[in-house]
Amino acid sequence: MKLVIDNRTVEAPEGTTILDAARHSGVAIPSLCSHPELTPYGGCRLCIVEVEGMRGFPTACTTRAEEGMTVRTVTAEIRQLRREVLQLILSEHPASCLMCEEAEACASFQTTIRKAGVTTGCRTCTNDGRCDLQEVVESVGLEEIAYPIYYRNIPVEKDDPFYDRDYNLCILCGRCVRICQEVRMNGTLAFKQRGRRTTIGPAFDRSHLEAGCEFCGACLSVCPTGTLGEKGRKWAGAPDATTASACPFCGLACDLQILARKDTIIGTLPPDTGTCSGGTLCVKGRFCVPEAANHPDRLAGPAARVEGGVLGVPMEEAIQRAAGLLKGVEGGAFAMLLSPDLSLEDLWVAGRFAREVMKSDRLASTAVEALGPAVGPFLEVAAGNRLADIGESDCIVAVGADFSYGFSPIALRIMAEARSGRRYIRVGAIEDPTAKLARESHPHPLAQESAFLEHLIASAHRPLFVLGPDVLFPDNAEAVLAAVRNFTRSGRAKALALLPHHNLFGLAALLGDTLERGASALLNDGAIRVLYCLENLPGGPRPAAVSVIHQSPFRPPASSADLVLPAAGMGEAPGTVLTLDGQPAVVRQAVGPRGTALPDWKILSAIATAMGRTDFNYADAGEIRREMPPSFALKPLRSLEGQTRGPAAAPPANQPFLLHRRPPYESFRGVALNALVPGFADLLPSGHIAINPGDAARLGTTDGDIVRVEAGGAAAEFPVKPSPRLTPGTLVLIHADPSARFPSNPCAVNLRRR
Amino acid sequence: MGALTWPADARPEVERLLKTYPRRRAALLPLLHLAQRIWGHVTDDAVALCAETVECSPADARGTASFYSMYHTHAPGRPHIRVCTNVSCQIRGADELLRVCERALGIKAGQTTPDGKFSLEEAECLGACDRAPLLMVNDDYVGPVDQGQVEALLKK
Repeated sequence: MKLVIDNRTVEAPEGTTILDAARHSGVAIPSLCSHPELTPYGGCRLCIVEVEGMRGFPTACTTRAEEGMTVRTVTAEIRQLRREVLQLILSEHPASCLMCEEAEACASFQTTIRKAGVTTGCRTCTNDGRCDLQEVVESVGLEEIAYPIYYRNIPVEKDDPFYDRDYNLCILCGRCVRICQEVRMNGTLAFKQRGRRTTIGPAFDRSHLEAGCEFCGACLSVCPTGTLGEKGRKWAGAPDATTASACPFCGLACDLQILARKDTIIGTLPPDTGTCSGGTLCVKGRFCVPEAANHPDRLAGPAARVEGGVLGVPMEEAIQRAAGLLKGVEGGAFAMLLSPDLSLEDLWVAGRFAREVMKSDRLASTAVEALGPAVGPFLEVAAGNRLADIGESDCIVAVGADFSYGFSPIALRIMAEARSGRRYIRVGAIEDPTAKLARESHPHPLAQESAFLEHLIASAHRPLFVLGPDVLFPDNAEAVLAAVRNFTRSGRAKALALLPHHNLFGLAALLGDTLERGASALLNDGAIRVLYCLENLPGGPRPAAVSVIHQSPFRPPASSADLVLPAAGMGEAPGTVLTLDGQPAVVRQAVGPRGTALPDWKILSAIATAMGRTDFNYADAGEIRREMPPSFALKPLRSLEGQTRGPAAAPPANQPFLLHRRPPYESFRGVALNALVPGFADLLPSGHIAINPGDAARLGTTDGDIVRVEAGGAAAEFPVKPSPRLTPGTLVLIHADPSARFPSNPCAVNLRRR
Repeated sequence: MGALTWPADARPEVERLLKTYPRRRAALLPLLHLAQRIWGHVTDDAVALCAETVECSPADARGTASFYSMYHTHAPGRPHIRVCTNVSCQIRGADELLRVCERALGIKAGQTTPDGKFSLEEAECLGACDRAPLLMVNDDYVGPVDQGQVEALLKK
């Protein structure tokens, strides 16, 4: 199809709008409400054009391009109209950052009132320098606003985690509302009222947290103004470097852009089109990266325990001390704990270090142990993961998958399938954002797991089980996973297991059949003289080892280690991980390491060299990759027989709540994410009883009240956290030690207000 | 999700409305009217029920209900008085009329008298410009009116 735009003949595919056709051929038309990921809206009226034979000034974003059309995008009249429209939009938007008499001088000199050699300039808006509105004002060429500016005086909303909302800056373009409804299929946001009283927000004056917001930040990514401000980087300014990398928080390793300024990570964005992409990240990838990367507990240099205290030492000395501690320690006297968040390169060098230098095969991971005894069959099922299966199945059954604050790209694909009529069934304790599209919802089965699952897929030809991490923690997890494994083995169904850690496949490849070896059993056998904690410091009391070497980006708890070695953190070293469908994902370096920190493999290599080895002289991560056998960087194939425990009993009547427990598996380099990022602790706090808001009200409790949880003879007290994600009668407790204090999981309990 | 359900005698009407339109979502406005007839005003629970019935988000339904001035989010008084302040009425003194009403009732536009009897609302165009300035008492037009007539009317 051919049409003429501004005297140029351009080619455009059938069905596109004039705006798209113009942009594809390099003609810029100003616009504020349109966005490539959203349906046309025609709200801002800035993209008006002239079309020969058409009356008036149609908006380019809502008018379909047609064969032989003649379009003019810039005429004196259009320019005048656009200026007028923009003035009306800005009559409710504080404009000191858009129009200022000093603007020109400010840009080149930046005046200051202080008699010092510093430049300041105004900081009136957190979005200054990365604002669509500023760009549009410039392209339309508006220099003054004829109307008085009406300040709406709406209080700034600051109560929810991760982002503040100042609707005095809002121009009501509706991008946030549309991305929340159309792309994220969440529906937390809508327009309220009308005319000059129009605002944006959830229904019934609820907070975003109460309204079921996932804090995915898509609204923030598409906002053309400074209305929505990321708490963590509000005044950080525009980034000076952007690096395409992968998210470090789970086995999906989503693509993301790391934004840095002055060699510090200030934020992340979904991939692709600069500041304007809506994207599919979850709250972890969208908001938690800078806080984890710049945490106050980050280590800047090594430290050694000496008589009477802890001494900061230079890196070279620390390496020598490590070599000294390890000298003469061989075989069973050496053990190493590893994090499933380490890169393949780090794991490979760690494996060589333990096996070749220390002659020990005592490798384990407390993070894997925390996933429980069902992790074996879980990983075996995961070995068959194929993301494409989501689109190819005729019935999707999600078991133990909580899509509220994680695995968003999978949730969005499932919801898109469910919307187009695919059968979607949910099994689990938590009412997540996909629940509204589920054909059926069931609680976790407590008995006859195989028959129950078989019944769900009875009428399906190509069923797919999507297994979330929460499937791992009930007492009958092994029975459920054995049932799913039998379906996948016989070809009756496919399965997709969602790995909660960044590189669980990589760790499984390193540990092989010893993956499930309990880290705690290893620690308590009394033979260990040196324990090397590679980003994996066991909780609880200091392990029974003579010396503990702790290597991590984060400071360990006081007096838990004899030698502390600082590792490079998020975005500070390149590496590779295996994603949950077995594909290698590349993590790129965005900033330099903090202080004297080094990549994990570099520290281990330096210690090996100090101990007299000559075969640990890698120049970079690429050299390690070339040394790794191809099989190491492949999805491990496992075949493990898990034992099956008996099904749990049905809850008795005097214990009306069913308590589900799980560990805080959302982690980064061996540290729980809710301990690193306060906002994430608002969503999924450890040590709290999450409860349905109606149940909480019936008990007469509100957020933070202490309740007594009773089960049989056992009782414990926890603060409550009302959450709309829980159905009545369901409780969830995130706790570092899931086996503690209750006889079973899930466990029928009674709840009393203290 | 909501605690509220449609009363048994309203169910046939709900079914009929859902079948009237090609898309479920389109039944939202008539369902909100139905809810208002049943419960007197569109309570939060009623809005959540309508949202659930047409399968849209509660925020969407609440936004729609708050857009149209004929839906009451709070219990209206009997009588409920609407004063039009759009162009035709405004030219003929509607702002003054509204102030007279506010003074006489002792409340601001958008409020209800403490005894719950009268409620007053500043309305957009009520579609009777030929009778400007105009106000509505419950479902009846009153106009054109002058200040004296309004004062007399309110005394009644």
